[in-house]
Amino acid sequence: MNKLNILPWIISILAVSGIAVSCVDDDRIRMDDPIGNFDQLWQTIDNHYCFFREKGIDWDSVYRKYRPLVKDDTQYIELYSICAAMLDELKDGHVNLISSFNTSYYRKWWSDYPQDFRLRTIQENYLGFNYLQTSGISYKMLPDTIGYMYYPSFSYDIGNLNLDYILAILYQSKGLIIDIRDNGGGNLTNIKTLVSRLIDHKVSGGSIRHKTGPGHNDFSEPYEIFYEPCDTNVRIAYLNRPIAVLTNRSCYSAANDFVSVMKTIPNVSIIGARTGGGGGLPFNSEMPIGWGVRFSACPMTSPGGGITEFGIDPSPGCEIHSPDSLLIRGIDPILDFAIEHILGKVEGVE
Amino acid sequence: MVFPSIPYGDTIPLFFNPYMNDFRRYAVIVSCLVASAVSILAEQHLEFIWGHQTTRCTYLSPLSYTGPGYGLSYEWHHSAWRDKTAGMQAHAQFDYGYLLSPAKNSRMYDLTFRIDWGVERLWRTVSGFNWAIGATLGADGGVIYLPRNGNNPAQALMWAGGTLTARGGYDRIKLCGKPLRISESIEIPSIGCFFCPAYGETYYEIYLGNHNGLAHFGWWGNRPQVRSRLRADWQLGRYALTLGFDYRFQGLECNGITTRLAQCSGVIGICF
Repeated sequence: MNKLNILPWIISILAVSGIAVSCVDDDRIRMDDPIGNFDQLWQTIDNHYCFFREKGIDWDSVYRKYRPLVKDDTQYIELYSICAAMLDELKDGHVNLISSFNTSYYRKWWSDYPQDFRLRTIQENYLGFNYLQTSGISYKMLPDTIGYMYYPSFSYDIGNLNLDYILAILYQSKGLIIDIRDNGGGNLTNIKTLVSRLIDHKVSGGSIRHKTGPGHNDFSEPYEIFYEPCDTNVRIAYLNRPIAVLTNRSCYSAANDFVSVMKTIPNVSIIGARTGGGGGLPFNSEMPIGWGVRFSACPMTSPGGGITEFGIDPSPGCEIHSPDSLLIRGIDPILDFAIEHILGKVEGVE
Repeated sequence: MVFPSIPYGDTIPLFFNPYMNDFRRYAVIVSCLVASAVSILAEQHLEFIWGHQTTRCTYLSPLSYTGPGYGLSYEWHHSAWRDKTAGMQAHAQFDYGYLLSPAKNSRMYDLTFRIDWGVERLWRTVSGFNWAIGATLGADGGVIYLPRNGNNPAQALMWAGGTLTARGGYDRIKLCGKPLRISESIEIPSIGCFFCPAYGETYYEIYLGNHNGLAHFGWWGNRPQVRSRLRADWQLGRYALTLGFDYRFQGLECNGITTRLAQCSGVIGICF
């Protein structure tokens, strides 16, 4: 056998491997192609966004509105502005266009509503700048033996031991106020940790669905989420006493889901203003130009089956607002109402 | 608990020892296999792989990421029968990719492993050609990780199944008076099962307990894979220096998710 007979073998193998590698690289859009980038962003949202039907958005008409604004010579920042404006049509706080110079953000879900909260008012007038803090939670026993805890973000992971201490210190209280105003969400597993201490039986936390294909109505069957009570032989639970969850319009995403679950527990009252929503678990994707995009992809529903994207109302008779004019004077009507509400419930029982 | 009755002084067959738990039993089996691989006279390759990788996973991003890929490979062949017409083969490999987006502002990482064991039929010719075909059973797995993403930061890769293998070589070449063997082997994972989430399913939902539809029957149509190894083993005394070229292609088409991973690599190693 001549040595040269091996050569065609080697050439063939190299050729096949080259073809195999080129099979992967089928992005046809260049980084510097404004129209291609715009089209891909539109397509990504078209394939993955989950609330077109609920929000009545005609995404094709959005394309017809914004696509003519993009030209071959559209500049970098101008393209960003057009893309961000297109995403704002979704009216969704979970939607962002992330570039190295800006992260777009639809703010109207909270900016068009009263804030109903001022942290300084709480810290100064109700906590007297004298409170305990762990896992991001500030807490104190208020006068009239009402327990109070402020949880500013579900991004702060709650340690089980930390929660044991919090609930142990507040254990003698007549009732508990969980203030999550201005809580913009975070890690969903923290809901499980917190809720497990407040229930004595398994409760439904609503359901989650996911897209099964690129069609606007391609969704899986709802998968029900359950929360189990903690083991009270090991952990401290707070049961059979009134609980008030304080909300405002800036309660979003995981905070919104927390309210959705808490509202179904009999001894819990939701007090304050309607939450901001954010009932879609966000996904990420990206564009050839290097910008990232985030959008709601998996709709979550309340235990009753209702969509939570548009927020959750307070319990009946518990919608209260805290105007800035009172907050600045050191008065928080939502917190005052919650204290009275709990005391009223305790007296009613006694 | 009821304990089996075992007379004092009797020897209990190792694999049927009722007191041995499953983990220890499997550990013994694996140890025996490894020991046999080391102790039996066999051809073994230990190689370092370094090449260029291109990865695209639409669950994470529509873009292709490229960059260097590194790997460590161990390959074992043993002619088990007296007439040397049949043998066993085993492979183990780890690969790591460190990739960059087209805009070069985002990193993707992938870490994969595979392990296979199987048999092969060997043919030798007087002209110096020898070739073999065989089949292996094995598994591969790993993860493609895109830290930029929030709720969909990673795609798990898991496959278990059968692989068809073929290899051929020519060993009548001399280089500087030392034998040089050129060989090529191709492995095609063919039938098995693999993991893939639904189109837009988060791992959070899987974590919550929704395990429906995660396992899929795999074949060439939805899980195309091929691995090719071109080798030159230059015999230097007891050991041989191995230089080679590898390519591997791993694809997945399932639930509207496309994953493609390809790597062309240079190889350096020893054969002993």
